[in-house]
Amino acid sequence: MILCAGAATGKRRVAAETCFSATAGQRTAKIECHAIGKGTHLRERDDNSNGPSLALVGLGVASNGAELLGGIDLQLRSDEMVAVVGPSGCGKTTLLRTINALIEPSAGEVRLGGQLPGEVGYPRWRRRIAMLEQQPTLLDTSVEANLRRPFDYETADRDYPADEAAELLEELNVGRRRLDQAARSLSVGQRQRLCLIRALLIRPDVLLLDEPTSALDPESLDAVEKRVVHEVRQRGLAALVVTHDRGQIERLCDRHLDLEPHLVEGAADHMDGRDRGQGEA
Amino acid sequence: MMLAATAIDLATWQVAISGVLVLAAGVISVVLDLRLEKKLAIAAARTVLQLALIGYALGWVFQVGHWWSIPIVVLIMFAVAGRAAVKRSSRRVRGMTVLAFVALVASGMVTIFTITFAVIGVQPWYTPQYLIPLLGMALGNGLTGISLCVDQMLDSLTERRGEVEMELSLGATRWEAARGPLADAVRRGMIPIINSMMVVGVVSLPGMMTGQIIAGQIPVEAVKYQIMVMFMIAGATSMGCILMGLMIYRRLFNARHQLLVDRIHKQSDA
Repeated sequence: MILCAGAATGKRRVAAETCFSATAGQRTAKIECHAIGKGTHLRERDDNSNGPSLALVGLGVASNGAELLGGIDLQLRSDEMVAVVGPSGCGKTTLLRTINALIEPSAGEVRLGGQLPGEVGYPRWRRRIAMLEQQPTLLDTSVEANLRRPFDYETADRDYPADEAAELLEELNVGRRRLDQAARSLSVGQRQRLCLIRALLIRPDVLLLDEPTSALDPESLDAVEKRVVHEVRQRGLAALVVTHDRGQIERLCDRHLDLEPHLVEGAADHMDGRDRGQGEA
Repeated sequence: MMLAATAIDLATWQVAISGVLVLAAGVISVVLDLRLEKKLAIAAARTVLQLALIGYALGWVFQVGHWWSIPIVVLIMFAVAGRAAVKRSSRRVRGMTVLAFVALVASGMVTIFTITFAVIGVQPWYTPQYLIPLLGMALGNGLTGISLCVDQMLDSLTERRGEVEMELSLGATRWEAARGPLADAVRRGMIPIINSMMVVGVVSLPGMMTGQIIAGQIPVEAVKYQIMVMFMIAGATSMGCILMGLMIYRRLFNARHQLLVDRIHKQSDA
């Protein structure tokens, strides 16, 4: 998932958006999801992995009477990764916040394994559908205290996995010796990875990622993508990722959901037929 | 030195002479071009007017002694304090004045009742000579605390919204996500009274104690009253801040554990 940090990748972002808008003529009035490349037969699928799936049904969001999003339908299976694409300001972040239930939909509903947030309980819902915001947000404490924090919540269903945290810090190039360091003294890229680790440690069923690799160097990007793909393919995580990086979509995602401001449309499936090659863990 | 049995009553012309000191301040303002002379004049006039009015009002309450005069005065005090508590905050939430009023009534009545009934033991507990001055001190400090508390709470929920929502987004309950900002707000509201408890008698001599000493009370007795008053203020302020913080919390987080940040508005009437 993701990228677009720094000047070099900035160009790629523009290229990707241009590409999307070039397909405007083929849009229909309905948001659709498009399969990317490889058929599902190429995926190794664990038969036990079909855990609760996320369903968006006619989802709409309005603010002060103005419709920001409307008519969004999506089924997201566990072990599936779907990209959310669209120009800036089209409501990608709002969509993730709505699925995370920080915002109430104005129409339609979101269900996880058939249940509504009210049935699951909102805090528990959010723990199962964790969200990684675009701005890596950390508390003004140490790296370790930040990672431990979600395990202080009432909704915590297990103890803080210190070993797993140390491994992830290592694997994602944050470094385990940084546990005592002030989290806010880390670089933006390190903070992004720290936020990802924090979200992964709570073992959500669904992970919502908002440009999670926008500030990463290629090496860290690679590590993050590998880890997320591993979580999706091996652990049955379902992931919905906002990204501007077409390469990343191709590498990681099974399908993409195109959003347009106010309008419901499905972009042409310009990625159809592409080989998603290196996306496998 | 002998202690006078009672204070010397001031004649009106004597008070007028003390106005010379305010005039001196005005002259300084003019000479140094501080442009404070108009404000100073208004402030001095308000001091005279407001205190004269309260003097007559209290005299009426104490002497006439209609039972219903007490709740009237007390209600006016609460209303004015509630308004003053939220007037200066840079952000507001709808109904905030009412919330401050409720917080002041609850914290004020509990502490006052404790002091007049359980500590002083005056009969009845609402004897205006005790009730009104003590309530005035509790409210004056309580409203400052509540004002700071509200300011801090609305500022941190606005400026640290990202942190609060991050915690919610990872499964925190609204209480878990709000606790930090709420605790900061109550702490902020408590700081002035804690500071004055720290330095009382060393750096500052409180007005009430000074007044009692001038009125002929022996200092050790005046000190006892002052200790009780400091404790009363600490209790009223902490209770008021906590109540206010909790009510704002209830207003800004819904049962779905969402932060309703759009309920916070910038203060428009400056």
